[in-house]
Amino acid sequence: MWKWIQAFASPRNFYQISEKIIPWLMVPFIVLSLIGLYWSFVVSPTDYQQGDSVRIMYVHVPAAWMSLFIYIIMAISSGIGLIWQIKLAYIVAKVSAPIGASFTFLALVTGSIWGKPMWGTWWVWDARLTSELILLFLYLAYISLNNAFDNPKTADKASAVIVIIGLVNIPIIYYSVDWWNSLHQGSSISFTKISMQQDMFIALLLISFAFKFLYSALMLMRARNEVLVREQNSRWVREIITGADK
Amino acid sequence: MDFLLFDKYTIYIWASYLLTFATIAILFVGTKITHKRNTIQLRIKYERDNK
Repeated sequence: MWKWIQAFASPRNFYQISEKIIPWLMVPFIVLSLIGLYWSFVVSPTDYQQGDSVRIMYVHVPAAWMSLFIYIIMAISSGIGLIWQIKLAYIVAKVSAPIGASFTFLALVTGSIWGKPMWGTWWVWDARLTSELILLFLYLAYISLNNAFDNPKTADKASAVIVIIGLVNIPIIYYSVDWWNSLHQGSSISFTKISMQQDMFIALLLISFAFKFLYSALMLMRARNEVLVREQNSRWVREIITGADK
Repeated sequence: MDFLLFDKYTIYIWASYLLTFATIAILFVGTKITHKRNTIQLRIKYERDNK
């Protein structure tokens, strides 16, 4: 297993293998999205309190989950990069940041759109909303810091430290609704119980898995771009690029 | 098509889904454009090196 990881982590092998993997991630993303949309709009019932506005939750909640999930992936990758000096781990962290920031932005804006008819306001300085906004700032800080250095090695290390320090915000976001008196509703899904109607849960799961496949595909596509740029002085990149001419 | 009208929430629901679709499209198209641009720039660089 370790040997396979080491082989895959070589930029050249990664570039070639990932090209074959990407379509296998895009197909489930499209299929799950289409079924998920059908479930969200047609199958899922109207909520007895929220009415039809509950349908916003089917994009808001998976986007919020993704914002946390991608940040954790970035922190793990950065940790691997710092400990084992694996270049690809830093690349995974770097290319994940704009995707994570986009999902965080989506979670905040769709939450705000839901908040207007439900709470009567676009925004409140609630613990959950504020900690999620801090997560967006952490993503932006990571991206800015990574772009601030000319040397990619220095940029990788400096931004890895930022992302690991920012990890402290993740449990704060997750438990904010329990720790503070929050306007944001508590978790309907936990490790031990699911307190929502079955079709609502299925719609959430479908979109959530679709987003996971989308992230994986986008991450690989962006990582391939980054590998090309970083390895541009390698013979194999030259062969691939000049070979693309023929 | 009546099932796509959600009472007083229609605009909120469609705004959320359209924004999600637009964000995904921007991420996807942006990634494709970057790949294309990198490939072209590297090709020009290698051609210059060969001269």
